[in-house]
Order: sequence, then C-alpha cells, then structure tokens
Amino acid sequence: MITIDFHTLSACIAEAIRSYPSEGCGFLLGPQMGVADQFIAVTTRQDELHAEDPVRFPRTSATAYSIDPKSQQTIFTAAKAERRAVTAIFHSHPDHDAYFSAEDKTNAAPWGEPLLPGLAYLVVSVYNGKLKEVKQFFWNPDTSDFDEALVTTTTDNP
Amino acid sequence: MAITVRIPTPLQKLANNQSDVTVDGGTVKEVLANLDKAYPGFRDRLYDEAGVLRRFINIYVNDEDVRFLQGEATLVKDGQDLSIVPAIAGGVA
Repeated sequence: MITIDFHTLSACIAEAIRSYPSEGCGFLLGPQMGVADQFIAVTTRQDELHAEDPVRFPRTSATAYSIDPKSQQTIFTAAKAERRAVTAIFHSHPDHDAYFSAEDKTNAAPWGEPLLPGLAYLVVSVYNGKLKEVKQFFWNPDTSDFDEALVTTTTDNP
Repeated sequence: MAITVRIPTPLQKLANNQSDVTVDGGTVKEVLANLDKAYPGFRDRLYDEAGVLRRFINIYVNDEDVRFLQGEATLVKDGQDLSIVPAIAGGVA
C-alpha cells in the first residue's frame, strides 16, 4: 500500500485521460517503498504485440497494456542508481471500473507470487474520457491474493 | 558458449537465490534447456503445456528482444547476456 503525493496522483489521472480510449501505463517512484512522489508514463506495446501475433495477443490497447521491457529495465536501473524506489505500477481501465482484474492478477503474480514484491498497483478508471475512480491494490501474503485499499495523498490541496 | 542468464526475482529461488548464472548454449533454446538442467523448475515456469514460451515471458539477448530476432533459434555468443524479463502487463476483465 502506498501514499501518493497529490501532484503525482494528478499526473497519473492526466495520463489515464490522455491515453483514453487506450489503456495507459507507467511507474510511480519514491524515496522508499510505500511512498510515491514521481510518475513516469511509459509506452505500451500491446498494439505492437497484437499486430505481430493476434492469436497469442488477442487484445489491443483498448483492453490491455504491456509495458515495454526496455523502458522497464531503464527505469528500474536509473532508480537504483539514484537510490530511489519503484513503488507502484499504474495502468488505466478505459470504460471499466477500477478493479484488479483476473488478467491483472495473472500478470502480477504469474507463478502464484508477486512478480514485483512490495509494489502496489494503481488502477485509474476513465469513462468517456473522464475520471471515475482510482484504487490501489497490493499483495496479501496471507491470502496469496491482491487486496484493495484506499488511495491516500500527502497534500491537501491541488 | 558461456552465457550469463539474468533471472527475475520470483525465479531466483530456483537458482539458489542467484540473480544471474552462467550456462552453456549456442541458441536461446539451448541456453534455456541447460538452465533447466542446472536448476530444475525453469522449464515449467517459462513454457506452457504445449512447450511454447509463455506469452508474458520476454527473452532478451543483450538489449534485443528475441521475439523480433529468430525467437528461440536466435544464436548466442560467448559472453553475451540472456535476460528473462516477465512482462508487466494486464488489462480489464
């Protein structure tokens, strides 16, 4: 579970709206795990994968996202060098609520345990290009599943 | 060919908690097969029941995604890195 700086949360929401009607995605970083004060949007390569192999990747960016692994490696490497922590993964759900879907869970814990231990998942719901809701999800080792939590910010005013 | 294999965190326990190991192989397929021989369990994690690499598994040789090279037939050279990079992905129900 993470606490997000208000401006960082606003940046996530802006990216979700900008990406609509496609799913947007990115990383949240902070000085330590559990805190986010920076958002970095990244490119999804979902449409590229779908175009290359529509059988194995039947979804387009309208209903799925897949972060470019090179961007992923670059951001994790830079964060480590700067003694920063990647604390959450952001993605948006166009015209769907902010739930953690079966597709989300399968990818976040492909072998029954979290792919990225300690990281939260921030999901932003956008309907018709407008924000509906934001939720975060985090791994619960007791249930081996993802729990939902409220999104808390560290700034009172925008 | 001695290839350094970079292992993602959730799979490091299969390799005695090492983040990278060195195995032999002349192609990506051979390297992954030898990885499973040296550290059993990788095959089940990386391949589906039909013997095809799971779709969320990305394999990089140095900085190149083998999906856009020759896939598992991609040749590897002594001293190169092979990275197993699970996709960060998801989507609506």
